[in-house]
Amino acid sequence: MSTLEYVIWHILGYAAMPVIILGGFTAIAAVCIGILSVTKDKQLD
Amino acid sequence: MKLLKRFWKRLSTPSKAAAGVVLLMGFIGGLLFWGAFNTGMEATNTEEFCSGCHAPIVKEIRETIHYSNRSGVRAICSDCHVPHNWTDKIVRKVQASKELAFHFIGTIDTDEKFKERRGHLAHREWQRMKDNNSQECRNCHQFDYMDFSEQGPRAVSQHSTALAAGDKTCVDCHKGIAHKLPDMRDVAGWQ
Repeated sequence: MSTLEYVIWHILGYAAMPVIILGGFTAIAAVCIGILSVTKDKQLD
Repeated sequence: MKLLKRFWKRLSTPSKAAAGVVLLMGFIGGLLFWGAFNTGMEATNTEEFCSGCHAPIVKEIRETIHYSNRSGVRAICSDCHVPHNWTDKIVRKVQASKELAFHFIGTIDTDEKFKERRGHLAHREWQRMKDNNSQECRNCHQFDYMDFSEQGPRAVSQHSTALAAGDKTCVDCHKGIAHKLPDMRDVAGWQ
């Protein structure tokens, strides 16, 4: 593996970590908000 | 954009549900997400998954000590080819996305193509292991606990000098321990 390839994969690899964590947070937040919204306890409009 | 705004408004507007309920939902949701993510990632560490593309070399390990031995401890593909610590594992998995692309274009989908590419694949893996100081070997074989009195003279002479000094790493000598060797004519120091 060339140095350039090594650097590219490490940047992509380390960049993937926050994407995974934040993506998971967003997905869980969306699901939880969806569940909470079922009770229609918010006035959004 | 409107959807995002609505999502943000829902996030920033307090729900009537108790804070404990919201926290519990987040906690359980987090556990489920992390469990599902790690289960999915571990599924890509199984021999069955690796065999999907590398069937010929997965079979070869059955003739080696890493498959069957007196103590019944065995290594599977990911034990030697995927880093064990989480951050390095993620980097390796992201890098493996390129290998998925090669799978879909059929780079090694026949025995002939595989044999032709075998040397290239082996060289890449040896270099990867050399770069990380044979970390996957050392997950099980720890230098500090090697009993030289149990090793042969040639192993002792190499381990006590080159390996101890850090001049060489495991894979420099231990090539082809779990698979057949490719054409070794271009490999420096190999006879």
